[in-house]
Amino acid sequence: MLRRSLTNQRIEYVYIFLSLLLLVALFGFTTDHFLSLQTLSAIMSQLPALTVVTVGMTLVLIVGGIDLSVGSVVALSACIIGTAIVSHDVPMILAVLLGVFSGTIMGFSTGYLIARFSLPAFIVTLGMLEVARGMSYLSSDSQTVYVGSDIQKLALPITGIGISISMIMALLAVISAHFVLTRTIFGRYIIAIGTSETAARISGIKIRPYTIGVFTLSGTLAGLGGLFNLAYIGSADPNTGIGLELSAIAAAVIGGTSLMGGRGSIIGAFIGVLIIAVLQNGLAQLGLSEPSKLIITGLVIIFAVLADRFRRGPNRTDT
Amino acid sequence: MSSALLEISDLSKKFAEPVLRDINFEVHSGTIHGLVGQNGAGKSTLTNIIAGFLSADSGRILLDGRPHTPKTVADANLRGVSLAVQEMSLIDNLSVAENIMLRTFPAEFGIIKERQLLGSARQLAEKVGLGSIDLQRQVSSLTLAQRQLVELAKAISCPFRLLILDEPTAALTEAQTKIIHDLLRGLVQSSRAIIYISHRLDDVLELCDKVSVLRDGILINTRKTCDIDASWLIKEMSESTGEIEEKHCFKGQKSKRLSVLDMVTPRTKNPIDLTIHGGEIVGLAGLAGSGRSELLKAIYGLEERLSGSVKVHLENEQWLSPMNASESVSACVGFIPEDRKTQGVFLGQDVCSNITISSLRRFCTWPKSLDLIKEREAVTALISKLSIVCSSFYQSIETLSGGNQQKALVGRWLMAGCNILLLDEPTRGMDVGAKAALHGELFAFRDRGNGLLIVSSELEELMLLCDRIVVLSDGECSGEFTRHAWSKELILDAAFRAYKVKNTETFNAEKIFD
Repeated sequence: MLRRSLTNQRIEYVYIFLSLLLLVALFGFTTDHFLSLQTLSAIMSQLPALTVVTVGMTLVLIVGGIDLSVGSVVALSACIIGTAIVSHDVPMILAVLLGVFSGTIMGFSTGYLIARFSLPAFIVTLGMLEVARGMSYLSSDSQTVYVGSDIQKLALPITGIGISISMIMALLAVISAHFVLTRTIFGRYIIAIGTSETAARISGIKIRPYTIGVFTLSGTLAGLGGLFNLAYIGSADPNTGIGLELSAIAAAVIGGTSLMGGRGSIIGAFIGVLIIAVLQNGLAQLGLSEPSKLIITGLVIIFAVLADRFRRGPNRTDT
Repeated sequence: MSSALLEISDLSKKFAEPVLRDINFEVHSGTIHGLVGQNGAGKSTLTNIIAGFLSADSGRILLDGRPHTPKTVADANLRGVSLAVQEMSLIDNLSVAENIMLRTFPAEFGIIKERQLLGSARQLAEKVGLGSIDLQRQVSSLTLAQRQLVELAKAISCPFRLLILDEPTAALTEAQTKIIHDLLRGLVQSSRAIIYISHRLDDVLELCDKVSVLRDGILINTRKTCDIDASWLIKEMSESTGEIEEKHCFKGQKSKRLSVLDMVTPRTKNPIDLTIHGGEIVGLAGLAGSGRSELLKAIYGLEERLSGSVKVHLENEQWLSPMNASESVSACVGFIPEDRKTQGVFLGQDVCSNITISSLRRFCTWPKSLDLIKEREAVTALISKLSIVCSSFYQSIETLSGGNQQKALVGRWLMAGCNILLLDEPTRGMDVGAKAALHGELFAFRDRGNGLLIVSSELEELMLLCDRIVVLSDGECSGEFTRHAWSKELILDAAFRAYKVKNTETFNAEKIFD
């Protein structure tokens, strides 16, 4: 489909995608086993949680907000699902719905507070980060809950296709979010609101429902992330997902999303997730220590923003 | 005979294309030198080079007979060049006093002397006619006109030899403009000079000693203002003289389109009634701060209404009563705000989505997805109908000129099927040609039987456009005039009425800026 052929956004994908390929090639040459099925499957199994959380984060950034609570919401959702199954014998499907729904409620509350009282998203979600983390300790009694192998099936590759149910669901989330952003009124409106709230109001857009909607989506996706996280580890850990919000922001920014709102792409953000995952695995295979991995990952993020700025011309400022 | 304070010879500057070509230009001490030209003629580039924002590609600048090659604005400031820019450079989160004194904070060991700061700022504020304003207020709460005055106070805060003013009065009323002009005349002494850029040709002719005309990066002519008139300037600026022909009034049947009943806003204390008919352009005149913009926003539902209501009349005697902006849009009322950049267009977004943002439902197919082909076709048709100059509809809106951005905003409401349009300062900062083009669109909109309500600081513009002008004075409706029964004097008299009653003999200018 070349409907919006060669628009700026397309060109942007190409750049990010090329960086990804470059990175893969780099690790392919410098390590012995990077270009192998094992690496691919390791990356694939880690991806789903970060992917869905990043999708939510990208939408929030586009509408001009930020959501720092997602990492904690991932833990909350995982703990609720785990505790429900293990301690209360709730059927798995119901437990999963409960967990994801807890994310929805957290997201809705966040969005409502921000939109109704015009509070800064940064502060509200910072508060929610603590609230959700505390709630996950409460719900799991501060213990890691071992759930069992049933739920892990979600994270195991399906024979024949080679990817897991988690990954399929995450990819579906990417595709639907991309569709929503580029082809629906909702998408256009959140871009407009993120660009200029006053101009959006003058254009006849109601700000509140869209802000609340985006945060609710982000919360729900974080809830889903909790499920994927639980399926990957096999147990519900109230300490899981610490710092995940920062990885998600990094992935979104690498993918060309502006922290000032109004600009961003879901596909780009997904490539950003891939870049981070490739980087993590590749550096590990090179035998780098955890601290040096952190430093390199940090520098790559800064470099990505720098490259983005130069591609747009050094004098352009986001005002 | 005064000596040349600034001497520019053979100055050229290129971006993608040459924007200044072999400019030779002299400004003499003790004079105010006007600089006119259409948008894009190179006025701002020239002054930005003098002020140290940009550097020239070739040519020579002498200030006081010594070479002047500032690398930064601070450099130029040290040499006594001060610039007040058209793109306002105020810092929103600082107070009025801090903004005025930003270049010359009175401080000891880096610690600001609060009392001295306020004292000096007060003096400067009084000079530009902002005497009654609270200097501790944040700049973000000021109106555009007040901000422009703060900008000017800031420009004269440090000692200067050469003051460059780029459209200093664009947002000001005639009374405010007069105060500024008196101030400028006082400021020009034997060793100082002012370069004054404005689209308001009458102002330039009245204030300046000499005027230079730029066209397409070439300095066409410099004359003494006593030898020329506005039509000569327009002729010099544009190769073809853009004669504005008298537009005929709308001939069709006039029916009520929008009525405002007993509207009270925080700024307009007395209830105001207003009716707009189809095929009619109504003007809302008044001094800055008279409440005209607030009233317009309240009608649209953006600003608080203390009481009163708006009725949008439909066919078969039914009506809607929109309470907020989104309901107004649903009732086919559109609004184009004063501040085009931050409130009108969506900067960074493409022309296409800027135009269709209020009418996306038209392009919606099941299940709620946008038909991009249909959207593109509609936008293409609109762009050619309004002759918006752009290379593609995926071009970013901020790369368009101001006039074309404004056309795109008109296009947004045409696309949304509006039949009532509210406009605040529709042609602020535009050149003669762009203004005429936009006026043409507004007339065309009216001739299709739609209604318009326009706020403008330029009385000439309202008198050209409107069939009827309602005048506000200090928050009260002080007069209503129809096309055949008005004169500039009558309208101005009404605009000043409330201020005159309160200060019988000498009218107190500060009152207006309050």
